[in-house]
Amino acid sequence: MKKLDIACIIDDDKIFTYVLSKQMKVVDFCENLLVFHNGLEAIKYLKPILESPEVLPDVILLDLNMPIMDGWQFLDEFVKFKVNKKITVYIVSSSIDVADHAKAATYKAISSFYIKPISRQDLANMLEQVSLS
Amino acid sequence: MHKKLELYEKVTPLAQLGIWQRNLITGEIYWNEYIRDIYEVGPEDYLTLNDASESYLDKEAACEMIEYAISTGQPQVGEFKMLTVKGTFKWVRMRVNTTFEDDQCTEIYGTLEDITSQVSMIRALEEREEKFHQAFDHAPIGMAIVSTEGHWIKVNNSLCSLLGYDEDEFLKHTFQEFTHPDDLDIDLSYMHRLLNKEIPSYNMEKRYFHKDGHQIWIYLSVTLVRDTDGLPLYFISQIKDITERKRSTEILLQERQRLDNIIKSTQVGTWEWNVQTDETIHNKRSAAIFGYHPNEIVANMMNTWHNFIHPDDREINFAELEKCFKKQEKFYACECRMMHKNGSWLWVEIRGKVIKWDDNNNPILMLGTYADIHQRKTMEQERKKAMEVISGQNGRLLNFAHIVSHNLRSHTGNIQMLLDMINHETEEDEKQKMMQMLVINTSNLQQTLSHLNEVVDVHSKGEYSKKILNLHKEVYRMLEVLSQSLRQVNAIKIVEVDPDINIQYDPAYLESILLNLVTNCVKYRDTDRQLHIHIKAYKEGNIVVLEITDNGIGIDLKLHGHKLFGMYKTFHDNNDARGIGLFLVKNQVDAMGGKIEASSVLGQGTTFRIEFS
Repeated sequence: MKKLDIACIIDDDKIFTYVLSKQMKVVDFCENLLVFHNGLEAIKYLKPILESPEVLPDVILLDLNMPIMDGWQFLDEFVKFKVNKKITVYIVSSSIDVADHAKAATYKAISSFYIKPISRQDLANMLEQVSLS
Repeated sequence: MHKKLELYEKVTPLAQLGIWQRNLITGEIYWNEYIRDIYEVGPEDYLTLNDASESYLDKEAACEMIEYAISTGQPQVGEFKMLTVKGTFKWVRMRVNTTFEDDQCTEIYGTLEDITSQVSMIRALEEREEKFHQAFDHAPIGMAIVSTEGHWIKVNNSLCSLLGYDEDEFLKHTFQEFTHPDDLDIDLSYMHRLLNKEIPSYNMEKRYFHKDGHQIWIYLSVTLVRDTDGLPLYFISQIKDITERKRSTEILLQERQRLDNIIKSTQVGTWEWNVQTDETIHNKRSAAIFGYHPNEIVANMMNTWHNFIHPDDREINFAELEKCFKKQEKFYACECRMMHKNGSWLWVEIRGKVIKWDDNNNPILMLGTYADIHQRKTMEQERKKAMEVISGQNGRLLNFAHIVSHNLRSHTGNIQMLLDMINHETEEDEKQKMMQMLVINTSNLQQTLSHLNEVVDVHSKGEYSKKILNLHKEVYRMLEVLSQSLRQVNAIKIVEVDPDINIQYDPAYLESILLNLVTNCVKYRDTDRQLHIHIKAYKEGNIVVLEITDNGIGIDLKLHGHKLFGMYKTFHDNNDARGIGLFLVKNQVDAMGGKIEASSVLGQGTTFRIEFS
């Protein structure tokens, strides 16, 4: 399976992002990894480089509950971007609230909803899905 | 003898009596002037016996009478109709007597009177009597002639068929025997007053018994016939069958009584409204619902009643009325508050229907009711309130379950992933690093659990933990606790709390709420300006409101408003922020049955408003 060029994690849980990045290395998930601790950080990074598809991530793993700008608010900004590149967004959250899952279904930009913890198999599945599309 | 003749000549003209004499031997005739008047002949004329008898329409009868007198010598009298030579019809009475000499009749004489006027009077009387009998016998209503003692003297067919007796049976009884005992005294007393000339006639409704025993209601009209001396002769009674009318009246009365009872038992007030003049008729209950005696509502116009309606409910009430008037709705129905005499507001249901319209489809008459629904409405509102509390609690429980699930899952997920990584890690340094993370994660989990415990504790407290607290005192105690950190940032405190305001609250919660909110003022102050904290309390009806306002950096409520009081929600890049303070405050306020809201302008400051129930 072809490894991704750039992956992006947006999650305020620093232990989680550390462990997940470790796992990604193990399964050879991506060449480059971007980590942001809330939505606003990510938006601030992405906005100036929208014109340069080669430096935009292929996959975004997005947490929902975050300070300052949460996953939903990030998505609301993100969908406004006109991007010349296919970016796959996965929700990665601890929420089992049906309201969150129902809300996620209304966003076309979201490909899947993963509930934490994330296993190596989950990462493999993501990789497969992205390379297929 | 001479004198007697003189008297005779004087009296004869008085009686207008015709006197005649015929000598049968000599043929000599004597007629006085009245004979000539009756026969209408000239002053010197005589008629022969034969000519005279020709004047009588029944000539034979007249001749026969005279022949009989002549042959028997007995005086005779007869009444005859005659036609004079001038063609006038007359009735006359003729008397004839005879003189006999040697067994032979020599002379006849007599008198002749014009009785035309008497006869026609009698004839007229007879005709009238005949007519009366016809009317009496065939009258469609019952008629009877009754003796002054009450005996039936004569009854007509209608009366016979009404009471089921034939005439012979009637005549053996008195009216008293046929009359219902309850009605007899009144009838008899009327009768005596009639006999005593106190009244000219009387009418009454009374009951007779039919021959087969059932009751008959009749309308009786009685007059008394007296003789010329004014002595009572008999009663004439007219009897009309009113059983049917009486029955329908009785049914109507029963119906009305039943309706009255229903209205009474339903406790509704009723009203009738002339929409065009605004005049109304209200029953007693209508006034009683609002605590009034009917006499107390002087100007009984609908306007008076409409003014009882709560100002906030008038618009909807008139809108409903209008719908009915425009025929959009068949009935007018409205629940509204109306002013009771004692000044309180009473929940009332008003219903009505227009029952009369004019030609232009404008309402003329409307009928309706007032029903006191205060108890139902109050219960409804209490139920609604309880429902709100319960669904609020349910919502919070569900929310809490999600919080618990989410927060525990975050930590356990990390632990699971770390353990997995440790198992696969070969480098000792990395393993150690991850072990350390496991320790941090475990202590985070511990902290989360203790936060959740705090929340559970908040909701497990109930009414029993409430104490009467003086808000003024509590605010100053809190400021004392925070005095050091307030002094550090050189904060200006403005307190406007009435020393008389007391609330029933859990002391620990009040302290927590005040500490959290004021600490937030310090945490999120704008370092470019001096911090102002304004604490204000006032009463809004039964509710005590506390407002804590700062001039800090503010919160973007458009962005964060919906999760302002959520757990672990932080909104600023502030290392102190734990996302637990406002969450606890909200839970504490909710648990005490109050409300908390925030308003904020980014860069200007924030106000938290708490309602203590």
